[in-house]
Amino acid sequence: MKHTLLAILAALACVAVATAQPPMAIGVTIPASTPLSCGAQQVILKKMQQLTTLNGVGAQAENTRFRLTPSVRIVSSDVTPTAPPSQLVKLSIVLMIADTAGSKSIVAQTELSAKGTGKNEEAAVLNALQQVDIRSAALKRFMEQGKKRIADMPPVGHQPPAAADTATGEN
Amino acid sequence: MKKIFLFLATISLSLAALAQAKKPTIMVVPSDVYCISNGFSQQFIANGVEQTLPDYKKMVQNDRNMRLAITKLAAIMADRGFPLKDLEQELKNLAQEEAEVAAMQGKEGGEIVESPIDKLKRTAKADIIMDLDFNVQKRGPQSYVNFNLRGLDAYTAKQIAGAAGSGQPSTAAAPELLLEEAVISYIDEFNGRLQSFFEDMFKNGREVKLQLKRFNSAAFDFEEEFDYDGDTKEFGDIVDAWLEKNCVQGRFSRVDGSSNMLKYEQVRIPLFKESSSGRQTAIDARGFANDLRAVLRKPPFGIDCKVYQRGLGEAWIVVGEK
Repeated sequence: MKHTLLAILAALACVAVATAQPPMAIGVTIPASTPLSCGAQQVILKKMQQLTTLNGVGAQAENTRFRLTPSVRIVSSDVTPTAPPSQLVKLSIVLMIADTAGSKSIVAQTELSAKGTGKNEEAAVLNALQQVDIRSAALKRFMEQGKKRIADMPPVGHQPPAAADTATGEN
Repeated sequence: MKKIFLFLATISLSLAALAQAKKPTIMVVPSDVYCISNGFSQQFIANGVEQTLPDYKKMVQNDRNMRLAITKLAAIMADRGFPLKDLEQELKNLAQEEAEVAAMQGKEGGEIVESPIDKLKRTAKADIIMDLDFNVQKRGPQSYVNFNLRGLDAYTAKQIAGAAGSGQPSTAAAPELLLEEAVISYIDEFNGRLQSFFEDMFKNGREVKLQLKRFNSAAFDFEEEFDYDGDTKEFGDIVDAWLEKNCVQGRFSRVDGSSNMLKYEQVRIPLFKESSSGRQTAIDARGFANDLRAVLRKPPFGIDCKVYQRGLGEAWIVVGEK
């Protein structure tokens, strides 16, 4: 009896291991075409890595199928004629989670705006990126949506069953 | 002698009365044309357009003539009862403040919160700007100074006093002495106009600017109608009625308006108001705007507003949220 129970438990464990999903992981990459300086790239990279880690899906980018890519654009820039002068920038930050291996689709996307000031444009951009709140409700919703869609996606190499031909009724 | 005594007595009495009110600050600032033409400028690119702005820090660190001129002018003005804020020291104070804010940390690791607006506000400012421009000209072996000194209200952009002219040519005097001689001959007229400005403020109220704007979360725009004081009017007209009731002699001017903003200039506000404890307290544009905010919080509006202070003489009321 005891041996039978142990055998059943071992079999169940093997089935669980065989069917277990790999842990969900989203890496962060900065697009090569970004207009940001090296310093600003590092700031946004670290922010996005913190975002993925906070949501339990942080991973090194080179090992992941799904990648979070921030695309930053300066929407407007103003200079104040004061003593000393200041530069104010408004940024548009588009975050995309994309599937790099399977369907190549964009799994989730959102857009944020950020404003910053500084003695020059670079300082203002850095200030704006530092204002991004990775704990905001909007980013939380974005990550939850991304994770849900990733969980619903089939693994790479999985062949879905062939759809019936509605015209001929053949498989 | 009698005229000098009367002049000094007038200044003293006015200053004594103004001592209880919020006194404007005055600062000498080299003009844009002086800084840029002498190479003290910075280039910025904003929205694809190159802009040239004065570099005051470079100017105070390199231009001995202007520093001497500012010192002389400050001494002349202080002797006549108008102590000035110093631009160079103010720039140093701002740099020090910025560093201290960045370095400060609470015992539990908290840092000082600073929004982009807080950083934008960290500038050298005064309520009255003495805009100074001068250059040394040659006439044969002699040198003389051409100067242009304007007293500008920083909020209304009005020129409240001005002096411009040339000094006496001299072969030996240094530029700052030439400037001092040139300015001395005009300064009493300049100070007289400045004094008239202060007396007008005391008699007719402080002239300020007021703007109403709205956040996109505001429940209504400025063309919405409300029942107020037994009448149905647009929001903008209700604000006009309130200003007419609360400004000194009902003096104000609505210069622009739309469904999203209302702009008022030449708003004459009292220098004092009675507080809840019955005391007379000095007020500025922010204090005046707070009274309007209190009205907007009550029915029929029932809306939260942010009062944004821009110095002594200008305030914004942004409707919708704090």
